[in-house]
Amino acid sequence: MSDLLCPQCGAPVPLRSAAMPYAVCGHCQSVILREGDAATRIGEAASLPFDVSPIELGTRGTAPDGAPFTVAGRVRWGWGDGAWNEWLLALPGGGYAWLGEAMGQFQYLTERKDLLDHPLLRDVAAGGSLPLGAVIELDGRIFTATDVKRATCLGSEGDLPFATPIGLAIDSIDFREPLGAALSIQRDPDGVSAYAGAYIDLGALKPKGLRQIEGWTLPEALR
Amino acid sequence: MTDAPKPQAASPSARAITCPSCGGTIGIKAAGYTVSVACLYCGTVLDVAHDDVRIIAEYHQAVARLDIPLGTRGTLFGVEWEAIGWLERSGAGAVWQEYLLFNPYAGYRWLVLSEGDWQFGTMLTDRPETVSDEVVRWRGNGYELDDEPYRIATRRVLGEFYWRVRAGDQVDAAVFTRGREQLSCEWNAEETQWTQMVPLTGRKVGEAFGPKGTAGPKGKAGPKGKSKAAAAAPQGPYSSWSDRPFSAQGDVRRMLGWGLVALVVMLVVMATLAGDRAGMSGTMQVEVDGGGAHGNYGPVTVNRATQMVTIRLEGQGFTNKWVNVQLSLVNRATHQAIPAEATLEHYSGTDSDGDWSDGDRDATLHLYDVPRGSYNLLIEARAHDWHDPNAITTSSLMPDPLMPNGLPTPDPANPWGLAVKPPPEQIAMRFVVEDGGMDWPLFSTFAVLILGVPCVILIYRLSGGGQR
Repeated sequence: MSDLLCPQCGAPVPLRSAAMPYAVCGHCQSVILREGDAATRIGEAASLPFDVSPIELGTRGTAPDGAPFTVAGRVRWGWGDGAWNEWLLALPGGGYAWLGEAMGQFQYLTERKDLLDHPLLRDVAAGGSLPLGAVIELDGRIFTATDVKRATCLGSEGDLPFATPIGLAIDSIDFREPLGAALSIQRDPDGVSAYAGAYIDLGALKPKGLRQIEGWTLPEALR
Repeated sequence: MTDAPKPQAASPSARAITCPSCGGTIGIKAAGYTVSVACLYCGTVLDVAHDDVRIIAEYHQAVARLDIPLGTRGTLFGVEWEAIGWLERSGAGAVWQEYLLFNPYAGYRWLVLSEGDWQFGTMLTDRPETVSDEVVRWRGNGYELDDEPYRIATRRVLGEFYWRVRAGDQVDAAVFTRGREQLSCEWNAEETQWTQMVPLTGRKVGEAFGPKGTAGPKGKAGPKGKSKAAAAAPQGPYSSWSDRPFSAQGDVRRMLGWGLVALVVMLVVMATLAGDRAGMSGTMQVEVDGGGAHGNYGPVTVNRATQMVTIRLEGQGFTNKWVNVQLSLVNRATHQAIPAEATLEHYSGTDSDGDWSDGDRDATLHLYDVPRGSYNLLIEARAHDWHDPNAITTSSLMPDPLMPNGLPTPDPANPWGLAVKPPPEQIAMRFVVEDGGMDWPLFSTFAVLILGVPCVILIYRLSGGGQR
């Protein structure tokens, strides 16, 4: 499969994950909807502000279940008191997971459609708010809502499962659990989605092809 | 299909912003993570979470001189860290400093300096479980509550942070301890943060972050933030003085520093006055419990108008004996004598507390204000044996438990065990005469007087209750 050309500027748009319907042109920030060999520009994404994340498009690694992944996309979310990255990890067979990166810490999260039937999430989907301290039981663990905030998309790159036009806003609810498991719920114009996983050390993902940052050498554990 | 891995140019590592308050250029090291920056030039706290840099709080304070200047890098636990932020915090009657360390591949750590002790802090992502009011369990181990929870106020900030920091921020805190490791818990209305703290030697920090790492805090007080918990700092010419002598950081180091400076000056002055050291030396043999030994040595020349003469006496390897030494420095021209006396002694033995030893085989005498001239040194020494009254004298016919056959081993040189008078024992005594020389006792007295106060304060603090 060859690269698509951006319908806006003609720059090649490399295909990083065939399963992802959307891509962001790295040259002109066009948000492109891919359907087979056709590419349609459906909007424009904000250009990513500079950051020193150790991850970049093309970084590879091993998921906690042993599956190899490639970093295929990223969305950066901002809120009143900061910002965080969500890296899209393309898994074999068209599956994907998210690597959340905030305050120098990482979470590995996979989508949990089975949670959408939970009464609390139905409430959220219906537009209700989820108060801090609300509790959800999942996989025999108790998760407590510790952080509820409204976030805006600050920029995006690569291949993504949803469109990320400028001004896209979501409600994000983070849960914590004593053993370091993580649960995150997002509500965007298209509905509610839930992601569950755990805090993880970057080294545990055996990453390869991390971003090279001027003046810093890769720690031994990440080579 | 995926990208083939290809060598790429390294991304830049910093983003530059301009302080809207003072116009200084600040390099943001943790771009993307950093939310607020306290300007290194003027102390103004800026919001850099968004593209337009806004002032959160304006402080025109003297920017602190830090033990670890921000931007310094050092390797701890095999990872290189850059010190990017600094907080001065107070709570439970103490003031301490916290450095925020950053590595783009490893995230954030803390380096805490409290009353001269360093700790390395790692934020936890898994919460310790509460076992009881006083015990939490983390990764299988129990940690006990140290003390009553206390309130922490942030007094001063510098550098960059991943949250919206400001002077005057307050959180509640509690510390749980397991051996030398601690779990620190800080909470406010919004969130709870647990941090694991492990001790680090000042030497390790010094090796990692440069020669200043072992130093104590500078404690340069400037106007504090709006924290009510922080006592007002002295103003004007006293602004660098500590406002709370028994808890403010840095004063002890300054006292010790000035004390050392004073001693160095004294040392130089005394050494200069000590003059050139033309020496004379010799050795006398003194018979133990004999008639005493006499010696006349010379010349000893004093070239200045008046000078100190130092005489060192060294008894060679005796024990359970003492030597009384009378000496005079006699002017060859006027026959005026300057007398001095010393006792060399050394005893050892065994009692109910085990082995002991006591005394000093050496002595140093200082003769002050010796006028110019040529002198002879007269030495008279008497040595005496001393018998330990507690020493067990074993009769030769008593079975000795230490001997396998219960009887003393016969001496081939004296098969009958007859009492043999040993030859009289001699003690060798070396003497060294130096005109001039350092008056170490005087110097030590000054050293104790000058450094005593800060040492007492230091001991008081080390024995006092710590925090975090």
